[in-house]
Amino acid sequence: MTNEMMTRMLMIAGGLQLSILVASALVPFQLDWRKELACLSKLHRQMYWVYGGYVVMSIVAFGFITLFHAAELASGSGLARAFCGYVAIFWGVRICLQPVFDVKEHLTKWWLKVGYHLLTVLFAIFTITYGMAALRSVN
Amino acid sequence: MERFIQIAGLLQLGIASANFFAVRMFRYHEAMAPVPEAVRQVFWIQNIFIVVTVIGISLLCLVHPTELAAGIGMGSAISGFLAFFWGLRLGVQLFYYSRAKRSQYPVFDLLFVMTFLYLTVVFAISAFGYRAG
Repeated sequence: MTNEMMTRMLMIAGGLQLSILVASALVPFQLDWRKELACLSKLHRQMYWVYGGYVVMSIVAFGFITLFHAAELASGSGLARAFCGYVAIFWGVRICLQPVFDVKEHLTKWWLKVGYHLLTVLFAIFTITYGMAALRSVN
Repeated sequence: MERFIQIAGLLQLGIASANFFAVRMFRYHEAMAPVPEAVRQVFWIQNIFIVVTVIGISLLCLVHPTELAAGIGMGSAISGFLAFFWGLRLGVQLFYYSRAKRSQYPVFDLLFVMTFLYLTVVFAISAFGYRAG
């Protein structure tokens, strides 16, 4: 695969990662966090929001770093491969955790079902794309 | 600067390991028991992702300190993100978590504040490219 093609694939992956945030934004409403977390202590409630915020922030960073430095990431340099490997593992872990979620009762509308399966496909695309970039040799 | 980034890598590994102790210290299992399963699962998944993220950036720091300290291109972007990441974490520690709760663990609190401050400063300097002399 040429550098140019890898760069383009990474740019698409970067943009798609930012689009995932739409789904992330729906989660607190779909699971009614405000009501469900009310029974927790203040500290645990705060931790819940902080951890959620950090996961979102990481995805935003992956998206923007990829969009602005796609060519460098595709170059196969040491840092580029390490970063891509790290993002591939991040999304690979996410795919492995997908069957663990007990979401059936929350997928009450057709678009939620479609969205859920679309997310699984996107996680696979990210894992494969970044995995390929991580395994590239130096050009 | 490379040495400071490698120290940052080790400190971040310490933070990642602290997440394992936090499970028992803050009694996550008991605390999360009253919430529905799906909400509880999200909490555990978030925890796993935080640990994966922190271990990932630790390894980047330990293996590629020179590129992260260069202050150009992707290395600068990653360092900038890490400065923001830890700067925000410092703000959360100081201004979001309750002072009363933090005072129950004064040693840990001080350790965390100093570590977050160190990480923020080192990565901010790296993002702009440190020039000695």
